[in-house]
Amino acid sequence: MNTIPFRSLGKYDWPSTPVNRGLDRLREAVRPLLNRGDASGIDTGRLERPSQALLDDLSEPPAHQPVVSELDATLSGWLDAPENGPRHQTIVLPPCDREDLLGRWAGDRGLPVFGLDRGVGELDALDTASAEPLVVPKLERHFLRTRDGLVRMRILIDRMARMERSLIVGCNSWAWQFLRKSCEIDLVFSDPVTFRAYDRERLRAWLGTLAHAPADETALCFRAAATGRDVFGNGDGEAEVSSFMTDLAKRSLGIPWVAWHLWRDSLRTEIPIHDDEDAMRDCKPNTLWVAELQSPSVPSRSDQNALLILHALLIHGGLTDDQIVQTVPLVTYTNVLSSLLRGGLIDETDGLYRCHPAAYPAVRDGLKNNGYPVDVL
Amino acid sequence: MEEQADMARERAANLLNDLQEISFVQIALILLFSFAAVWLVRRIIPFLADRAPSRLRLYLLRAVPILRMAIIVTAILWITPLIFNITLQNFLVIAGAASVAIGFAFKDYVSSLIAGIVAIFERPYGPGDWVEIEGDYGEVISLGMRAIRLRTAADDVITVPHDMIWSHNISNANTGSQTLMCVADFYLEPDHDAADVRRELVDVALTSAYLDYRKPVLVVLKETEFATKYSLKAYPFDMRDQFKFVSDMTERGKGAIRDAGARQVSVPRFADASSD
Repeated sequence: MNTIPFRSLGKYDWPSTPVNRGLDRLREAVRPLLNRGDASGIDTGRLERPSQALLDDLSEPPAHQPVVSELDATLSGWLDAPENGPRHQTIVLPPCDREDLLGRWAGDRGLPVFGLDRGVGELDALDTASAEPLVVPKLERHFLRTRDGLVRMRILIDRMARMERSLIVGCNSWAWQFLRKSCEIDLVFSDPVTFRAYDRERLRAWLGTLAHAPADETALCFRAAATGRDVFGNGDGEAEVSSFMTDLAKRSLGIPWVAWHLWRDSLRTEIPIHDDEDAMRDCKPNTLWVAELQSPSVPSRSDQNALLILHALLIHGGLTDDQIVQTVPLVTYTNVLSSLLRGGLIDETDGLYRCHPAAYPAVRDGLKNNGYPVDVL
Repeated sequence: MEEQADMARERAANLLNDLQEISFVQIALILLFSFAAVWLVRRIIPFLADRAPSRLRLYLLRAVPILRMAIIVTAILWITPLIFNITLQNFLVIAGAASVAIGFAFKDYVSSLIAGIVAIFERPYGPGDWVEIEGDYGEVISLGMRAIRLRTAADDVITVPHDMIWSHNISNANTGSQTLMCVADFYLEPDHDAADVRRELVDVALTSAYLDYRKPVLVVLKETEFATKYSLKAYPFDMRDQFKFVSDMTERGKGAIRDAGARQVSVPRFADASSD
């Protein structure tokens, strides 16, 4: 795969527009009515979700894996001679980066990380001009959208702006828009960059490498459940059989970790029919079926509590119960979190509610269609 | 030849076409089709507008009166020659008769109809706009031939004839845009640090979940007889949230004022003193 450095924020090539995605969803809804069955496909009733171990074998984490080398290519020149460049590097990433791309990259390179467990007062001790750059990942997790939260964030930004030490600051794109408005962060950390959108070719190259390079070198075939065609589509009819990858690029908005989750969600294995096959259930099959991508349903404007919560979760990257109450004006008693969990739009780990990566494109479209301020990439 | 000319003169002298020549079925069908088309436009477009992306909502709603007018004008132009024998002489006769009828019986009605047509082009208001007319503030939920209907914050529906635009001020809060300025007013005892209060109030708006980032946030101060008045002005991303937005700013603004060491006045000081 080619390593393409990041480019300036605002120049992202969105693989599709919300209108295109809406039309695609409409087409999918109508397709089963027009095209009843394909002899080459498989009845989805005969398919089941693979085990977690098999999924990890077929598409091993981290979900941001291809972006690591691009981040490296973007920053390596500056890291070699930071005195020749700007003091700050700003990396703005789309939300749902569960595995903390920037923090992990910094850890791999041995760079110090200013994590969530550290207070702004500790920056004084870290402010050494000659030291290697300090990495501040996930800025969105350092504040709450409250008056006190803004005050603390401004103090942090002011302190970082005054530092003599070089900084690499990471922030999610939703928080970046909010902080631009509320703290004018873009005047301190100018020239933010983000990765280039993953189009179908880049996704196919990456997922194909993941899927076809298992440790035991088993030859695997990934076939679309609807058509029976190879989704990685080599050879004749390439354009046609690669429609899954085109669709994946559109649905994922070109974000690799979203595509990775969608890809895993779509993988299926065939349910064994006979007892002897049942015994083979734990063995790796030769054919993996790829179900059609499903978009979760996003609440409409009439369920405004749900939309407000989703918006707040995207800005903060994740919130606890208490933090949701502080940041979202929930006037009446509501069980909306349960319904969002049930609908697959969010998930909860250790009390932290976050937007589900596979649901992010649908959530973004839903918020945009309802007029909410959205991110810019 | 002369006979034909006489017939033509006779025809031209008739105001109405010969009853046997008038196709009542055709007229009925045109009317039926027009009513059906208007009914569909008034039902389908608002239905779509509520479900379409919010940025398209006002465009769709504004198309309703224009399409309705186009359908009606088409129907009138289609039906008129089927009934009337249109010549210059007949046109003057019809216009004269209509003027008398309108002048005596339907003056206000026709004035409203004409104002409705003017309103479509001049756009003092449109469907989805928030307007104030004669003290009634609400959203324009429909723009009819004769009148508009407003839905107020109290969920009352008020019908206002279009001819109000001839003689009254129409205050339009958004004039076709997606958002409008919302104002939360606070009255504080004058002895306080105004800079602190102002900063806190700006943050109140900036941290509201309803805020439109693209628009400015302002705090305007004014000394009144009994208090310092703070007007916190900001825009929600959807004007339908204006009352929630103002309530949110007011609720959290009270806390911000307390935190800034100021106090809201509950009774004007002079009123308080006079009661002693």
